[in-house]
Amino acid sequence: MIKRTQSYRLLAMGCGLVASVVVADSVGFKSHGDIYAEACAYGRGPTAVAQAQAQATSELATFLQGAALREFQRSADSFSSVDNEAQISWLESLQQGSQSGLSAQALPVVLGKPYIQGNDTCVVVTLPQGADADSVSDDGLQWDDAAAEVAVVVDGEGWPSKTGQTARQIAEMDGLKRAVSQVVGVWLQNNFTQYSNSEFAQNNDDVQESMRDVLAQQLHSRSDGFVKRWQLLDTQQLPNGGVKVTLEAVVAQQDVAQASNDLLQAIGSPRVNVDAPEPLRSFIAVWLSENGIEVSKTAPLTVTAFGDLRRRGNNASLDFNVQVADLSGNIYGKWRNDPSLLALPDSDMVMNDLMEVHLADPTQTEALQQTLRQAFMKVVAQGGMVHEIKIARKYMASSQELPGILRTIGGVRDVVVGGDSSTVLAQLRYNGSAADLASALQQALGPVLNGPLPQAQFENEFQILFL
Amino acid sequence: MQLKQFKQISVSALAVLVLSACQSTPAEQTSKTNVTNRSSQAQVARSAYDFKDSDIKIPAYFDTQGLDRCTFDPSNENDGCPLKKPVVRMYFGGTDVGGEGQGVQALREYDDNQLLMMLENQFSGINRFRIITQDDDLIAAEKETYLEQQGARDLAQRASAERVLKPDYVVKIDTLRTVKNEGSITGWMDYTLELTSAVLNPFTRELMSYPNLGKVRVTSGDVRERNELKFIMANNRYVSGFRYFDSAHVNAVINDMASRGIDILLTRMLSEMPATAQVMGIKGNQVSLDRGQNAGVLPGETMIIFQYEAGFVEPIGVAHVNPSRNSAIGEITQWKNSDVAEQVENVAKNGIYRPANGVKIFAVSVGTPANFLENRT
Repeated sequence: MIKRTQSYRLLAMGCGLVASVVVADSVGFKSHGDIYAEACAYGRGPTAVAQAQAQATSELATFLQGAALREFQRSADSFSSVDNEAQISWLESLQQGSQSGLSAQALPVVLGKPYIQGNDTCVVVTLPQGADADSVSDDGLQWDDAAAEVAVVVDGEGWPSKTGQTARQIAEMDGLKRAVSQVVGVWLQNNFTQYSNSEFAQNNDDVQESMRDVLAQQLHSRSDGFVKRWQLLDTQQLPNGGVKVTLEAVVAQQDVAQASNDLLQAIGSPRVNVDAPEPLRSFIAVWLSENGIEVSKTAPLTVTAFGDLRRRGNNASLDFNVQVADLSGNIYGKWRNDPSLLALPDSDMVMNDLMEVHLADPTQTEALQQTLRQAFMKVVAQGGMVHEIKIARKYMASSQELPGILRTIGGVRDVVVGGDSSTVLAQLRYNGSAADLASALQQALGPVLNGPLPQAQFENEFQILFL
Repeated sequence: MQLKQFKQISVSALAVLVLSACQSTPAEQTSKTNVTNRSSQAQVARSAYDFKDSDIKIPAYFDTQGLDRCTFDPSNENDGCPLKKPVVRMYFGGTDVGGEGQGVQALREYDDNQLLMMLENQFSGINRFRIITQDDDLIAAEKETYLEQQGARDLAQRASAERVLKPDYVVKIDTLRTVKNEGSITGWMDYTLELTSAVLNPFTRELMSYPNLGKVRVTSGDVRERNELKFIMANNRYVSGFRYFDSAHVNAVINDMASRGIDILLTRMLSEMPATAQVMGIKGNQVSLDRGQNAGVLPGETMIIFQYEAGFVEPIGVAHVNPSRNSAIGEITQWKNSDVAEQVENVAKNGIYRPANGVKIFAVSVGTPANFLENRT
């Protein structure tokens, strides 16, 4: 409830304000031409101050719309220290502004010290003489969807490598990688809102930055066709034989956008297997489906959930854990609920009730989503899922060169080769489907085979057998 | 001449005697007193209307902190704000009754839990602490009903937005219960309950020195006539009278004793932590205070109005104060007979007196309001 004070004179005495000309109960001119308004609101603290300020500002704006100019002209003689012409012209401009829709919030008023009157908190707001409402302008980074290409200037650094590449070659590759990364960053920033509404509820810059790095790294390893052309602008020598180059690179931004989008889809909509006792399993499976994550018994990633009831007295709370692992046992993410959220009377249904409430809590489900997303991103960042390839030794001429050959296949990382007397077992990370990998293997393994490989058999999505 | 010399010698001797007497007399700064084990009594403020001029003095523990630093947000209040109250959880501690004997088993069966709920309720009303209830069953039952009626999403949002307060301290009430019986054929039970309270930081384990509520002793004689606790034995077996072995009957007596003990604790708390407010203005006999219920000002509070300047206090008068939510209004029933009070009274008679130029006027309560025990306990 907002009240206007009844007597400004009393206020002026009490608060020691400078001599003023009172034209209304709570609005008027100070002797040097400033306009003030005073209002009170019930209560204490920032809310009451804000209410009082809003009321005072609104009264001040109303005053500006009509009465201010008239009142000043009527009592202009009282303001000996004020330049009447300047004051009138200022008041006219304010009046025009307010009549043409200038909002009260745009007035650059100065808030006085709040003071207490009984149950009310009161403030005086002042519009300093000559002050004008500011207009606010804003600009931001724009992504031009229509443009097929975009030119960026980047630096790259490199030092001679043991593999024979020169410092300059490495610096150029570094520069081109940074050019793609820069374009990915701009694309992510401009498409951020779209994803934040759906699968990618990113809410901090760190996550966005790590996402950008993951995307840039993956795009770079998949193809170098994103840079259409580039030219060297500058070269500098660095210590220890290093080189710093400055390049202008023209990047195919539509291709980058498409590839980034595909990768994001892969991260955001993976398929997972759910391993949990009922009723946890059903809850998690339904929740995952609702959040765009497909549940499949043959999926290479497993979401394991386990919950315990913590009993205290007659009541119980829920301790609930979720982790994401692949079938080789690598753990990519872990999440634990906040058991202190709720305790309910212990009963047969308490587990279901607690689960339902925990999964309905936006803060907890966001944290769970975040954990799952980061886990999926980690899988992509590490080079994809671990795949197992089993090849019968009878097809192999030699297994010593196998690791080297596997590493030459595009997109393959972290190769480990082992096995027993009858089979060779290779484990590797590959950021693509098992079928793609199988066809790449058929082509690449020729030099180490003593005959053609049989048709690949797929145990599941990450096990390929040539037996 | 001889007479004159004699006079001089006698005066000198007298002086030496006086001096030597002064040197040998010890300073008496303490006195001996008996340690009492009588039951404790409640102490309440006298009504402001009954004050005499000589009664208008500043009580202990007055506070002169203004509201300048307050944010008025209870969950995020500035440490320097006088409206900030410690968040506490209350416990009953050390309630075991040892030994064997007539009526001991029934006394042992007394359940403190309901007493704890009563204590929480009574202490929350005086607004000196913010209390986190220990009534887990009630809270869990209510949330279950809420889940049933409002749904999981609503419950989750509410539970996640309104988290349980974090306690700053623990208020612990230790009780010592004893029983003795007297007589042989016709005997009577005599119960004693001693309460002490402590405020402690559960993490540093520091027992705070303030508020110091001392010890409260209640005997069964305070709440029951002695013959109500009388019983008759024959051949060492109970025949009639007070059923000292029946926990329900014993509980009734102990409950009354505990209730009385808590009332006395409350009155001591109100004296130990008096309500203080700043005077915003005085008009006639009416004073306007900047705090009310939010600072623990109770209805019918007797408050001393005093001027505070440069570390010195000058009592101005005594007022009967009634609070509203954020402020309070009082009536000065007696002005102090002093120059300062007269100056203020003269200005207030002709308009509104507002403290200015570094002078501040405060009001401090003198303890439990006179009608508190009648109306609130």
